[in-house]
Amino acid sequence: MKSWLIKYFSVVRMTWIQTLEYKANALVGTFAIFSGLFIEFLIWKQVFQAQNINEIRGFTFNGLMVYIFLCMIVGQLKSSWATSMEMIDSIRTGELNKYLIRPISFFTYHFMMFIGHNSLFYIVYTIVIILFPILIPGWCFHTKIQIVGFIISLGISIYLSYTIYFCMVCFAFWFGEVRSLVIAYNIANSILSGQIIPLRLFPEGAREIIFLTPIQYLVDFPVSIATGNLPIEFWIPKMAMALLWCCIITITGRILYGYGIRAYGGFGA
Amino acid sequence: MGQKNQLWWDIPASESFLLNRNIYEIPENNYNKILDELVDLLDVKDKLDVQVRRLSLGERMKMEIIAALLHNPKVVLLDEPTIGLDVISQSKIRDFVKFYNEEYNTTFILTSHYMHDIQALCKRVYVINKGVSLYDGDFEVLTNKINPRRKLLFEFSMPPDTRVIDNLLTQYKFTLKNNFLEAELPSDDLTSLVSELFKMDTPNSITLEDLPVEDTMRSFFLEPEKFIK
Repeated sequence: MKSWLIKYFSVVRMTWIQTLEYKANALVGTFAIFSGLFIEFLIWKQVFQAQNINEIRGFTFNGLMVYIFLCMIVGQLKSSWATSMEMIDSIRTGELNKYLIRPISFFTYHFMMFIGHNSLFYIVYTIVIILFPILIPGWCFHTKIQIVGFIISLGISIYLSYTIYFCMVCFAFWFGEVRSLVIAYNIANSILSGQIIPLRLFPEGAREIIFLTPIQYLVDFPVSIATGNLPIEFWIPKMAMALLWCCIITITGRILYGYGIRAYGGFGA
Repeated sequence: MGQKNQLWWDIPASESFLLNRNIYEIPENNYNKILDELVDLLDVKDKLDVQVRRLSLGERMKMEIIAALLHNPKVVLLDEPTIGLDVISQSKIRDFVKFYNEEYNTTFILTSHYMHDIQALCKRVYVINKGVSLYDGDFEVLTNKINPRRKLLFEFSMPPDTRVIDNLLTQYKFTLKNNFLEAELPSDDLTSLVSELFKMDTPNSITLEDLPVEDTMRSFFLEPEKFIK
């Protein structure tokens, strides 16, 4: 276990060093979500003013902004599309060979790379989240248990999101290039997971369909815990359901990888 | 080999070596000993802390070899290890592979289209053409089988006797121009021709050389069935 930890921690460390190699890029990436937040601010400000309303389905303007900001942070932390692109390239170009001949798991190695890439985000956003209740008290993290619930659900969201991406990556074994699939999923996911418009504002039918899928656990679930929109009695059943999805999708990924590796040919690598 | 690598592009090679140490769970003492030795042999000590992207192709290739050998593998697969390298780097890598193979009994499987690599390094060759195995054995035996001819250049010290030359021409095929005799013959014929020529004259110079191995292999791949039953 210790050597396993050392092995994969060194992957996180390497990716962390690599991220810091281009400091300016890393910093711009870290604060890029603020531009998105500014656009959302302008749009919703217009909506609230034009309709002359104080609330939309239980969201006040400030509550909505806090929800969207947290959604953007969670969306950023859980999105492993860049790592997925690298994995697709590895399969397509035959570079997967270098993972096959070494005592490492392709799945875990890239998961750690993804964690390493996002390390700077984790640090910066943790500071932001700590500052949140101090700077704008009363909008999120009203109790300590909410912080614990948020951290656990965020961890589940990060893992769940990675396993979904991994399943899509595995299609590269048969189709070679599947980056458009990942891009299409990314666009759909940013809308359907509540990153742009809160799920509560979706039409009832659409919401019911989304609640049948694991998508609700990616962004809406941790943010609802943080903002207090989800009563505490629902946390455990929802977390259990999210963990069940993690197991189902991990097993699906393993099956796809198992079949895919048989179809794989590493020519010219 | 230089294109698809295990080194991280933006990070010094020493960091990638450290990652490999953890991946292969190499004890620290062994790791330091092996790394020091490989770095000395390949003469890249001053390049260890330079980002991989700033290294030349030859230096990158050496770093790749170090990364591949850190865990003391029994078998190493080298795919075109000298492609695109300058002649000095080519010979350094060849010398290193030869030394390492002899010193540590490590088996190197070399994939190469570069015949000088094969000639310098391979005791045994396995030839595949269009997915079909054509030959498995000694490289010299193969080249002799395909083209057993060698080239002779004999410079007479004085104009040779034309009657003797005409007589030799009935037995051997060669050309004579300005006291230079040039022949491409099978080894046995060449030996007897040389002994005849020495009876005629003590030459100013004599050269015996193998035909270019690339030409030999080209004729082999054009009509492999002609040479391999």
